[in-house]
Amino acid sequence: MAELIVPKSESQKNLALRIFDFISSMPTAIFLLCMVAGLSVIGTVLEQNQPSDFYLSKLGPFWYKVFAAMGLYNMYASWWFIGILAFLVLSVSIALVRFGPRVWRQMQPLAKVPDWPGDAATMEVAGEIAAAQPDQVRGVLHQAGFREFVRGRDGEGNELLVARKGRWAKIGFFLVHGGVVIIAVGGLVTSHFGFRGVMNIPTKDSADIVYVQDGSSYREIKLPFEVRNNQFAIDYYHTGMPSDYRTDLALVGEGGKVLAAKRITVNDPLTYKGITFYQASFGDAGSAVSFVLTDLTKPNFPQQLVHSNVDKQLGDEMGNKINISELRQHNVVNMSQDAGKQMLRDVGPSLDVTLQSPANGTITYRVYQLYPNMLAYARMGDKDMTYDDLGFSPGDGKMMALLAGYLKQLEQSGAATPDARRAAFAAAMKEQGVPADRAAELGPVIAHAADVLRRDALPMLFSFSDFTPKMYTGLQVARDPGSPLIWIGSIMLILGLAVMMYMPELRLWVRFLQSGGDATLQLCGKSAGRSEMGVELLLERLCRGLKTGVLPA
Amino acid sequence: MNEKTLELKGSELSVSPSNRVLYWVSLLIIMLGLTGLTIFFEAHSVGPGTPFDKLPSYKWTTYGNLLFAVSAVVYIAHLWLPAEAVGKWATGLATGGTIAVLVGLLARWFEMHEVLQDGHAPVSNLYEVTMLFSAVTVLIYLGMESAYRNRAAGAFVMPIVLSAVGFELWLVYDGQASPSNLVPALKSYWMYSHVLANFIGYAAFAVAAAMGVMYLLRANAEKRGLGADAFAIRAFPELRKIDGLIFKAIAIGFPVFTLATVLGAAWAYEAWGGYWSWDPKETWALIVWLTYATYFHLRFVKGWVGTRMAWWAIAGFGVTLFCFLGVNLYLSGLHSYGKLG
Ligand code: HEM
Repeated sequence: MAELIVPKSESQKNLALRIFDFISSMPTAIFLLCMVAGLSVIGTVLEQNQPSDFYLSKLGPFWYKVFAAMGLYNMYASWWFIGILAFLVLSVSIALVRFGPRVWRQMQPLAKVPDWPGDAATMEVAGEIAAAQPDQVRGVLHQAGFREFVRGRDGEGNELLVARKGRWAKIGFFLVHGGVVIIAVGGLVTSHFGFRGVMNIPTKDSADIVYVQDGSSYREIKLPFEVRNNQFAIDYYHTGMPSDYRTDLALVGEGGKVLAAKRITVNDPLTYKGITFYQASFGDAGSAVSFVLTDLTKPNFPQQLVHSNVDKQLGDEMGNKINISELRQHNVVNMSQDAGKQMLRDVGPSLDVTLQSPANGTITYRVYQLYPNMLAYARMGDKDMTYDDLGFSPGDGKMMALLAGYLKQLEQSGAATPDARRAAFAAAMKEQGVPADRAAELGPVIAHAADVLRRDALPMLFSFSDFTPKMYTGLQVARDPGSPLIWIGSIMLILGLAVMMYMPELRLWVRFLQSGGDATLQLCGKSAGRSEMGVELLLERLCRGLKTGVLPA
Repeated sequence: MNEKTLELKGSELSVSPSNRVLYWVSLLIIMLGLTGLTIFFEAHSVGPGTPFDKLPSYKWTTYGNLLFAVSAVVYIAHLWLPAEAVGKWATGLATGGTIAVLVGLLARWFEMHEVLQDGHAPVSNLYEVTMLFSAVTVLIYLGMESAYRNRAAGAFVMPIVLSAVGFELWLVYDGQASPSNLVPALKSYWMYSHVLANFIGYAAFAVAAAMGVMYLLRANAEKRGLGADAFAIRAFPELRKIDGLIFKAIAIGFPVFTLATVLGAAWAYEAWGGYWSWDPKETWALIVWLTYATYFHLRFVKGWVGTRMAWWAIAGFGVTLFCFLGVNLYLSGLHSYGKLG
């Protein structure tokens, strides 16, 4: 090892050593640190792991291919990024070996008197000095926390006392760089011997397959036991926002034996034999829903009560497809009129129904169980939903029939004046058998609804009747044999930085000058990192101490 | 070489280290006392749905911010008015401001129980963490001021603090200052320590950048031959010393920032089973970390000091700011607590 550290001469170094030198050299280290920082930016600007359509539409076909070839869509896993990280770790490892002995020597007791530095804070005490002799000076320095001393003479033969504190600060070099290497080894162990995947288990169901993402596909890992979801539940704040997700989880082995059981929550996982189950997400496992469908394309607006499940798709002979895309049991909205204020309220369950029809494109409706009059929908490409108050529920068959009758009357009579419209409404009321004395009450409602329907030209309306929820719990499942190394390395890193930065090495020189009968003491101090102001204040304090013989508090 | 012969002018040496501890402890007690009194006397005015600008904490924050503003003016004036009394006023006002803002934050913690019926530390939205940032920045600066007995940097640190205050006012105006419930993943003790440590790091880097600006101003004045007694420059420490102060500020921040990152990893590990997911906030934290790791190598090993390192400190804070705010403004990811709407 010795010749590795102190090469006899440049020419005697063989190629391997030169490569070692290069890899662990300071320019390389600085280049690598900047490189990792710079390259990391890319992945924060270009959203990662999106579907390929996303990139294709953003970049166009040419750049899409170029970026794909560079692995930029999952760049932190790309060979070149991992390669640079690996090279950084290699570089740190070699630096540890190459510079370690030198740093270690710097931590050894001072063997000889180091030279008086030319570029450090200096101060002088003269005149009457209480602590003028080296041993007395030593006593004062001891009070100031210095424990290590050497005595000698400088070039001009003046007596010199050198003291040092923070001798062990350099241990930080080993802790910091060693910590980085150990964290990297921990990461490597985890990625080789561990896994991290997901399991989605409906309530009262169990499973034993973990799906691990592997590039764009999934790998299956079979667990040696069944994972059972006895109960999944969501807790809410009084505002209706979720406060916690929890699953009563049981691990069931051969013959139905329960190996472990725990109620896990978002920040409280279950660990069994090195495998940890985290509450990560949840979702709908096909809740049963029912809704009333009103077909506005047919005369009389026929209605139908439909039973379906979340994520199930229904179709009809016209080529319409109805997909129940989402059931939300709670909807928290800001009810405040004031832009700056928040007044969160839960408006209850909602259902998202997506209608795809050849004639009308794709329209997503959001229907609220507790607010059935609310009409909310968005056409494909809309950024926001359109909200309106229909005035009555689309599920209300009588009102829908009246509305249909009125629109038909209007169409037949081509009514253009208010009087003609009133007549059309009266005719519709009569046709539907609604008592005439309700005209004043129903007239404005129907007129508004008719305006809305003509304006929006929606092919169908929905009304949310009922639901029976069926949820699954989304578990993150991980085995992570590298984690002890990662924590140990992290602790080393932090401790190392703390000793280096908070207890830096400080060297102090005291020169004893004799001029005539009076002694003059010159003090000089130098700290790692060259922060002179602190050193100067210390020198001032020491000078006072020397002058009086006692160190000021 | 700078050699000085010590002249002993009686024993007027300012605060000694042991008195300094006493000083900080008494400030802590004052702060806790005021928080206690606020909670005790004003609890009745707080309940579910109380708008945040009617909360006692909001009053404290406003006082604190006002004190910061006045203190900034006095610090800047102190560059031209070297009287010790002016400096003491500047320090006193800044100290008072920090206490007020911290009382505001602690009171808000209590109020959160009442308003949201969910008590969580006030470190969960952009408004709260900006307050934390301003208070911690002033604290770190004041710590350095008392350790190194020099007030010149205050004139550069306080404007950064005032920018944070301005940002807070904008958040208030934009309706983003109300406390809100925490999403489940954020409900973790790891989060408190993670956020707190992060902001100690950010604040230290801010102080370093302020000192970097001071360095460049003086270096520029010297280069133009204005000499050490040109206008305000006379109040600045010598270049070598400012350089050392910049280093100190970064050296204070870096280990804590490293700790913050590890705490964040520990938290993510407990919540999701993965330490690191390369989400933009995490990645930018790494970029900040690497920026300062490079700073130390350049300084310790390559011996870089002076102008280049002053620029490095300023640019480093630019990267830090992007990590703090830019990520929330321009990028998307897991750390959505401070999404700007
Ligand atoms: C990855 C993050 C890194 C951190 C946080 C870090 C931190 C530090 C610190 C704080 C010092 C100052 C020690 C002192 O002299 O008191 C230092 C020194 C040093 N670092 Fe790093 N370092 C890192 C990476 C690297 C890399 C990639 C190399 C590769 C060559 C390296 C090689 C060195 C060397 C050779 C020294 C000088 C040791 C001496 O002689 O004092 N470091 N490092």
